[in-house]
Formats: sequence, C-alpha cells, structure tokens
Amino acid sequence: MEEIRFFFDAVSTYPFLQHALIAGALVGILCGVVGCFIILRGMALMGEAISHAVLPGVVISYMLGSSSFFIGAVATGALSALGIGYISQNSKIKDDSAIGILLTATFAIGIVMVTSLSGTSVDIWHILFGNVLAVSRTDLWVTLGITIAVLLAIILFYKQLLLSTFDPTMAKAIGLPTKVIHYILMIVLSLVTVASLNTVGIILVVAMLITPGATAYLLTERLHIMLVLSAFFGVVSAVTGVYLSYIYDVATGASIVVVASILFTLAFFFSPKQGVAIRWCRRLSTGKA
Amino acid sequence: MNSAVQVKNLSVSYYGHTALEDISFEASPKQLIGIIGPNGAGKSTLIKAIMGMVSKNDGEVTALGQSISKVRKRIAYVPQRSMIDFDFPVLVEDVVVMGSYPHLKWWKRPGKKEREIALDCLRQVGMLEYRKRQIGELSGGQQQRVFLARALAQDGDVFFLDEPFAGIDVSSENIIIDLLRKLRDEGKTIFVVHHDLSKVEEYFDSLMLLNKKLIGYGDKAKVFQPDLVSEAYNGNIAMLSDEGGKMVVTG
Repeated sequence: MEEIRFFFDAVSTYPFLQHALIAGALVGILCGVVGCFIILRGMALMGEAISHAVLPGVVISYMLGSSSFFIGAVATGALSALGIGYISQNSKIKDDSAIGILLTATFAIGIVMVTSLSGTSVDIWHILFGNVLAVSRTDLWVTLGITIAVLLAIILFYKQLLLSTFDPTMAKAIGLPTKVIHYILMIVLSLVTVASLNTVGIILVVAMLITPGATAYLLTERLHIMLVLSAFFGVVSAVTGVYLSYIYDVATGASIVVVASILFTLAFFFSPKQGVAIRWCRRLSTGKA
Repeated sequence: MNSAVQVKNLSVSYYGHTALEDISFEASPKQLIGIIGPNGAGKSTLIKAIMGMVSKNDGEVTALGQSISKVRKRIAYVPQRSMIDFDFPVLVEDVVVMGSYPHLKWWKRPGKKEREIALDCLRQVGMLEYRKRQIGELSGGQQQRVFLARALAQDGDVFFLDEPFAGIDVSSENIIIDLLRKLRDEGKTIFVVHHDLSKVEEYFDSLMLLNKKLIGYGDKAKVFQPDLVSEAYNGNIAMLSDEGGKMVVTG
C-alpha cells in the first residue's frame, strides 16, 4: 500500500508520469482493438513486419527535421505491406518468407541510417524500446487523435470488418472491397506503431497488438466483446507496467509487455471454456484423465 | 427476363495455366442445377468467376438480365466449409444476420427486423435452438445449415452453394435438399457444386459436367450419360445402368 500511495503522490506531482499513464492507456486501447483484427486475420507476422518497417520512415523524418514522423513512418510501413504482397504474388516465395525478407531489410536500412547519423539527437534505443517518460503534450494529442479516428472507423465499419474477416469470400461476393480493407488495415498498423513508439517502442509493439487480443480471444465468443476486453487488458497492462517501472526503476515498455503476458498466461490456464488447467480439472473430475 | 444466369465464352487462367476454357451456358429460373466434375475441374472457380470474385480473361456474364455488379444483393453464396475459420468469435445468430448485410446501407447496423428474419431462417433449417452457440461448437452438417440460413436471410433470386453436402450427416443433407427444392419451387435458381455422383439424379433438375471445358449442360437425363461422365472424369469412371437406374463405379 505504501508503494501505491507513493506512486499516486508522484503522479500528482510530475506531469511526465501523467503523460506516461495517459499515453500508455491510449496505446493500450488502440493496440488492443486493432490487434483483434490482426489476430483473427492471421496477420500477426505481418504486424511484426510493418512495425519494423516503420523505422526507416521515422529516421528519414528525423533527418529532414520534421517534428511529426507520421508521414515517413506510414509511407515506409505501407510500402513494405505492398512489397510483401508484390513479392508473394509475383514469385513462388510464400507470404511468410516475403515478410521475413522485408521485415529484416527495412529494419536493417533503418539501423544503417541511424548509425550514419551518429552525434545527432536520434536515440536508437528510444525508438526501439520506447521512452515513455519523454512523452510530450503534442505526442499525447497525436496519439489521442489516432485512437479516436481508429475507434470511429471500427464503429462505423463494424459490419464490413466483421464479414471480411470472418468470411472474405462472401464479403467479395457481395461486393465489399476486401483488398482496400486489407491495405487500410496495413496503414492503420503503421499509424499504431508510430503512436506506440514512445510507450513500448518498435520491438515490443507487436506484443501490445497480439497479447491483449489473444487473451480476450480465449475469454469470449463474440467479436465486439473481444474488442472491449482486449482494449481493457491493454489499458490494465499499460497502467500496471508504468507503475511497476516507476516503483522498481525498470524499463517501462518491457514492464508493460510483461504484465500483458502474465494476463495471457492466466487466461491460457484458467479461461472458463478454453483454459488448459480448467479442462484438465474437468477431465480429472469426470474420471477420464 | 428469361434467363437467370447467362455466361458467354468465359475463360479464366491462373498464372498462365488454364482453369476454365470457353464456357457458355444459359440457365433459366426455377431450376436446381448440379455442377459436377473431378477435383481441379474448376467448379469453384466457375462460381467465383460468375460472381466476379476472380478476374476472367475473356467472356461475358449476366445475371437476372444485368451485369453482376448491379445484382450482387440478389445473389446468395454459401462458401465451402473448409474456407471458414470455425474458431472465430461469432455466434450462430450473428452469422445468419450477415445475410442482411447486402441490403443495409454501408453505415447502417442490423436491427430488430434483421434479427427477426435471421431467427426465422434458423427455424427453417431447424437450428433455432442453437442460435446462441459459437459457430465452431456445431457439427459439420449443422454448420452447413447455418450457412444456408444465412443465404436464406439474404433473400436472393440466385443461389450458389459450394460443396454443401461434403462431409455432413444424413439428416442435415435431407433438410438442405428439401429446402433447396422448396426454393426452386418458389422460382429461384440454385447452383450446387457437387462431387458425389451417386445422388446426382435424385437431387438435380439440370446438370453441368465440367472439366476445364463444359462437357455437357442441360437436362439431367440428357447429360448424365456414361460417355459424357467418363469424358469429364478423364475415363476414371464407369457407369453401369440397368432398369433400376444407373450405378457409378469410380476407379
């Protein structure tokens, strides 16, 4: 209890902690919601690729002295999504290999660019692993803007998203632009990565996309509940992670991901319907062990 | 408007190899049409090309007298069961409500009316009591009935079913075929991709024998002939007939 009071005192005193908490919560919601679609469309690896592909875009934006690195990041993110599709459609290279190639290629280009800029203010560590304590007011507004836009789009296009994710063939049959939906999702993924840069960084953003959504997936049988639960787990992970990192003086992004992973582990073993431990107990009690 | 679906010189190829070659036919309404052929004959591709889901190299398709893009709402499609992820977080009734999507404005959500239609369609396929189940908890036949209910909810004039009888139980099969007959009697045109030759004569009014090319099309008595079937199946099949009917031997 002592620690919690200490943390609350710190929050009310230091604006950087307030910013960190708000940014974390927003990223939790944003990643949680977008992540559900990534999981259900079987695109976890794609999410990983796009989050890495954002790096060169971010670095270019820094080099050009632009304060908002969204445009660069979205450009390289979207380009690599197109590139992955182009490679797998125009050669016998399968999707996962194409993703592997582009993921590492774009990431390496980004690293080469950063290291060529030694002596400038670009801190590769912060881009890769986040620096939640340096979230500015502008960053907060931008993250809030992206979150609201993405949530509105999901509410507005819920039925199109549901159908094209569940049954892409029928979606195509009734004339939904399934390819356009796919590429819009890729662009949203790049936006989400940029919004999460400060909080968890490029390397761990995929955890925020996949883990809360996967936890929710184990607990419900309806998409809209999965979306709400996933956002909830995202927020809980972010807030608890920021708390732990402040109290124990450890890396924030990593703490957030550790909390999210613990939540997943609990759901994996104890989910009422899917839980491994629950099923095991049931089998023991019915004598079929 | 005398034809439900009209296809002229349709050709489709994937990466340079031909999937369908010069297919032409015309289907009049109020028919149950079986699309028959061996694996890889292009049966599913034909359906998808008619519905504009795969791009065609050549040819013309009209449905209900208009180009497909204008009549999509009135064409209901039941996918192959293997194409669906049955772990998806969606309940039986949610799936059936999807049938109303083509009729809703892009921003509109399904409401009370759409839910009632969905429940009525579930009743017709005998799945009403399962409406709150997750779709993966059902047996294959029950899942197939749910997808048929979704097509019913769409209230179309032309139906395409891709392998609806593959791997399902007898009672589901009977429920489905009875419903398809009822739809036919109401004036609908129903295309069914099918690869089990044993019930072909019992189920369909017309047959389409396909193996990349159109081998035969028309009344089942005319098309379901040993020479044509054998041609469609590259000679890997023999049909014996006696007074009681025909028997098919695969080899």
